[in-house]
Amino acid sequence: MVDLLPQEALQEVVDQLVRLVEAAGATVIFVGAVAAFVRFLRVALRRRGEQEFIAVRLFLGRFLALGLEFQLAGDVLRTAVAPSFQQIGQLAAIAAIRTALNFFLSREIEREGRAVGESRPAPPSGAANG
Amino acid sequence: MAEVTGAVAASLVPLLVVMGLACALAVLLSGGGPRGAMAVLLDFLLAAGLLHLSQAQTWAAITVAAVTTVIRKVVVAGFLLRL
Repeated sequence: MVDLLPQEALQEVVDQLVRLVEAAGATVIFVGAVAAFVRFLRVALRRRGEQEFIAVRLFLGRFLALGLEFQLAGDVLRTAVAPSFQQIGQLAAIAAIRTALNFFLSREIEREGRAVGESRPAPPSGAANG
Repeated sequence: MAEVTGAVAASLVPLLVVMGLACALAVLLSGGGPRGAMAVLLDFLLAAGLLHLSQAQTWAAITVAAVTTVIRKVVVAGFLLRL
């Protein structure tokens, strides 16, 4: 049988893709953390209320969730070429941790977002009518 | 290539921890309260933990990263409980 796509070539391609996707995830997390750092300092200097801090935490949480999605995509890609049972086990453990974190982070974002939305004053009743 | 990426990620982890400490201090000093400061610090530590986890290649490293993350989540959950 003609070997159209040798295992080594496939492994090399997938390795490069995994690195690319994981680097993208790490970049998203780091950029989000730096942006949140700047926003936290700005809010702290202006001495805004607690709601402003929660809004910045939400901002950071969304970046973390996005970075986690990238890292999970890398894990899924890695399952395409996992030659040993030990590697599959490690991959499963890391993916489980990331999935659990993503779940709790999403729940926290939803809860905090609802709390921020409820604390904002309602628009005047005449505003909707134009 | 992988070594370079790992080295960059490894150098970013302590930077995130320092940024988290600075932000927590800023929140505390500007009247955000200890609860808000702790939540902010743990968010940054979570980001550092995620970067750390991306370099974990052995069972020991994975276990350490997972246990650290679980402890942080438990601490923040306990701290944010409204008593």
